[in-house]
Amino acid sequence: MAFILSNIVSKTCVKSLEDKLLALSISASGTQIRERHIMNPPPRLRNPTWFTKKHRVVHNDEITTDNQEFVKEVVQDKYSNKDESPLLSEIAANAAEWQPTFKRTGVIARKIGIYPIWMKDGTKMTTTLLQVLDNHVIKYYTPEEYENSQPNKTRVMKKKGCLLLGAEGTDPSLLTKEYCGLFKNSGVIPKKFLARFFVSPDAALPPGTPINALHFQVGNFVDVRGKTIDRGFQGVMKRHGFKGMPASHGVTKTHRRGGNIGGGGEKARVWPGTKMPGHMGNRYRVLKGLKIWRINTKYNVLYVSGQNVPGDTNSIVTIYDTILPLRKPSNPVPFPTYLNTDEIHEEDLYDDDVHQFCDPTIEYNET
Amino acid sequence: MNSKITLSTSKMYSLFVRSRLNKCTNKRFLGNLQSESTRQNELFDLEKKRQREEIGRIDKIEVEVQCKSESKTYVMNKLISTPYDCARHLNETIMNKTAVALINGETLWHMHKPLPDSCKLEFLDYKVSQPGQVNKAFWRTCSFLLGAVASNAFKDKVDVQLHSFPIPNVKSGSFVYDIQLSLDNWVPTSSELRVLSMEMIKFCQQAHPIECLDVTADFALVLFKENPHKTMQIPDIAANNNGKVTLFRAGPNVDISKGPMIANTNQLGRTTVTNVIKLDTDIKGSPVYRFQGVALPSSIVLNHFAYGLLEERAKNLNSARIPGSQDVTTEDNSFMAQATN
Amino acid sequence: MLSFISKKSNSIASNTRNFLRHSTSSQALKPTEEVNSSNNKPKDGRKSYAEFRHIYPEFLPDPKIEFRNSIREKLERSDMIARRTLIDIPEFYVGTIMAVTVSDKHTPGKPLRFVGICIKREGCGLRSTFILRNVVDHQGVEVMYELYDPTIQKIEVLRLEKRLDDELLYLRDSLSEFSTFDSNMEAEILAEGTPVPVNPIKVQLKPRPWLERWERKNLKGVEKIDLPEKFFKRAAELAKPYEKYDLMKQYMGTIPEEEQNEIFAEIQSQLHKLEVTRKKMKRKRTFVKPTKLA
Repeated sequence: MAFILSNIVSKTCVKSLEDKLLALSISASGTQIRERHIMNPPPRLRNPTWFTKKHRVVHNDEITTDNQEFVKEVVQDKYSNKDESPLLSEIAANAAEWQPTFKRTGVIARKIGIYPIWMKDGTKMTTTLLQVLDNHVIKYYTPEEYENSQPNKTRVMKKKGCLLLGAEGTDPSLLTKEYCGLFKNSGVIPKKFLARFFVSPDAALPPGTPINALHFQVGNFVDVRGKTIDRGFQGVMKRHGFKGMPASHGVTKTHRRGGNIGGGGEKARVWPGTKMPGHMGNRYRVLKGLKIWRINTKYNVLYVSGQNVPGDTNSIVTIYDTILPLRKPSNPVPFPTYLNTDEIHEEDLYDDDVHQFCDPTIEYNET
Repeated sequence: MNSKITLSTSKMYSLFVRSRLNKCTNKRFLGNLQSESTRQNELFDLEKKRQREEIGRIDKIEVEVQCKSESKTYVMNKLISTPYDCARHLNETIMNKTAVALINGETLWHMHKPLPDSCKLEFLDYKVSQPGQVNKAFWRTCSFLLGAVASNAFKDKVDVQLHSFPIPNVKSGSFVYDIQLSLDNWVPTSSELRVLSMEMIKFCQQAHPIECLDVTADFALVLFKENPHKTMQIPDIAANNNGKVTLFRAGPNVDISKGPMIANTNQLGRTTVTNVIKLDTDIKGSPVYRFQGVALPSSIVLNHFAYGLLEERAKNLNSARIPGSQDVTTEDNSFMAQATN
Repeated sequence: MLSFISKKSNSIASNTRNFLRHSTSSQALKPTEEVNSSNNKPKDGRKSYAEFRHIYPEFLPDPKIEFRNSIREKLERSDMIARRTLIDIPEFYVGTIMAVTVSDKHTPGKPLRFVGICIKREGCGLRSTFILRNVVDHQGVEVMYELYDPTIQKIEVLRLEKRLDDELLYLRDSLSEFSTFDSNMEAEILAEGTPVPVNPIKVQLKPRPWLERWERKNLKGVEKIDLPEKFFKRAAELAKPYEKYDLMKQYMGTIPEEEQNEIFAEIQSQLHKLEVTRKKMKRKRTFVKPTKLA
């Protein structure tokens, strides 16, 4: 380390760098410094490299309106989607064949609402609409490079690489310079939301690759991870589903309470983990095995079964390919991602069982 | 006996000065930039003291200060009081925030330069409605400080000789200082540029007031005798300026410039040294490099993205005139500069 | 059998309409309005879609801000119009007598037809529903249908009229003659351009116990309720007469007019096309004068 530093410093002509090296070498030469003993040392956080301060305090910049418009134009020019097709065709040419064991990226989406769809046999299904935002790959960490902040105690045999995706571009002047610096290498506009996805090294993508809803196919199963609705401090009936006590018939002052909280005997104490009232919601939860019934290619919307996707409407969720073994796809999926931008799709892609609204009324005929 | 003792005060001082000058030259401070600047500083201090002593009787002048809507009249000392002193009488904010002073509504005046006569005074800061002149003074100061920082930043084995800086042109996108370095084909890395910027910012944060002094050409030649370029320029500068050379000092660095500078280095806000480009000149000796930078006053707030655009633009070579060996006047000191201002 | 005569009484009706509109979710308060069933064209210059919000109330989304998303609403509207091009979903209100033909999976090849009075209309978008009530073989039957259900083959309006209340759930506690309608009733066609008639009928309630406390609901379409004083005293205590002046509550519970106009402007051309085709179908049928039932 010292050798490398001295090499660098000898090549520069600037004095202050030389001074700093001198200071370092002096301290490393043998003088001992006894530190104060700290009772509760601050946690040695090993956060990912993209955990930086995101928002900056926005002051009233005294720029003329002409200059403001100029800055906006510059932003647009700099980050417009230019020359993406050669990049994509290159990736497509180098892509590996899909194997069922391969793990590909997920996608960042926004839950936009709930909507019923009907099947061809007349049954109604409530679906959640997930709009896939403008995702771009920000960075790829190879399996050797990436250090998990909570590393696995046992040795992982086939370590996965880490893909960092960003979604929803914003005005860079509202974000800190440090945060904008994350997006410099990929050349994409700074994004509001970042998410990491563990992928097999074959599924690695170069920075700047766009990902849209056609990454998934109709009929595939997905897992959706979101932050549940914050319900605040809740009682035991809503939080854990306790039955409570009758409302009348002489019941005194105990209608929604938890009742007994433990037994006696040797372990006569309240066990840790006893269900009690407390804060409910605002946690990350994954809902597994949701089927995609319909994809709208114009707005990049996935129609996914179920109405209990974690989160409020207009909240961000991440979508992954299922880990459920019986729901894994048997046919090839777009690998590493959907790259064919020249192909023109219909606006809506439906599953075979779904009744489209432009189809005639469902009639049951005698067979 | 009496004639030996009773020497006039002015003669005594001149003798004193000359003896000191001889001492400085004999001691051989060559090769060490720090001692060179100490020498310059000492000389500057002496000259300043001498000029102050020269003023025999202190006359009083009336200075009418125009402050927003009202005007106040102060009785100040002729050739001693500066606009900064007037500001101190007024208000602390005005004292700290003013960049340059405007005399009789037409001439720009450096804040720490003594007032010669009764006049009307106006204080200009960076948010004035017509800031063109103030911006030029700011740009000029930035060039001066860039030169100052560059002369201190290099390692001892590199020989730094400041050449000059051109007329401040804010629209060109960067302020410039042409410096002769004893390095062949040096291309600065981004970390080196960052270090230079940090040095500049650190220097400015030390809040050095920028002092002003009008000296004779002889004195200026003694001061800058180590610098061959300045030595060449001084006679012509003096010829255009009634035999006087205006010196400015910030901290330990002294330099020549025509126009007013801003009052204090802490008025510089965001500063970046954006690029150092080797120039193609016919000046003998080591190659001449153009140091470029961009800066904003501390009172002007700008987001990092827009400032980044300014930095990008300042990386391009400035279109100011490249100095040649025949050029003796720096544009800032030239007749044209005086005429156009 | 009581006779149900639909009168065209505009003057009284317009005043009562103000209070009715206050409680429905998708209707805004406007002092005087003439509801024209067939004149859907927006006027020249200033486009007012005042009629649209009564004829197509399910196109307006749920006013709760947490649920709103413009893209989902757009997709929903396009799906609704796609369905409407296949099926004629007519204009109807609470109090109209309708017949719905539905294909049933348990009786293949034989569609089911149900006639009844619409007692409630709920929901926004594709989830909008309505409840039809009829008394069949002395048994009160209510069926809830979804407007956009693809198994519905036909929705016919037999008698287009309005009642004095927004919801007729009190028919459950009224005498059965007020809920009985002939299954083979013929459609009564109104002339084009006539305003929707309001039936000022006063329904007689059965004696208590009821399913709800009707004396507290300020029902207009109910005969004078015969109960001891204490019920009305308690009703007066619990009454909130100031609610009708609560502008914020009304604002939060409705979609503002500017947004409504935007929404209808998007889809008005398609709706107009549907209207035109419907008028063509109507003209093919002969005009039948409404008859008095004994």
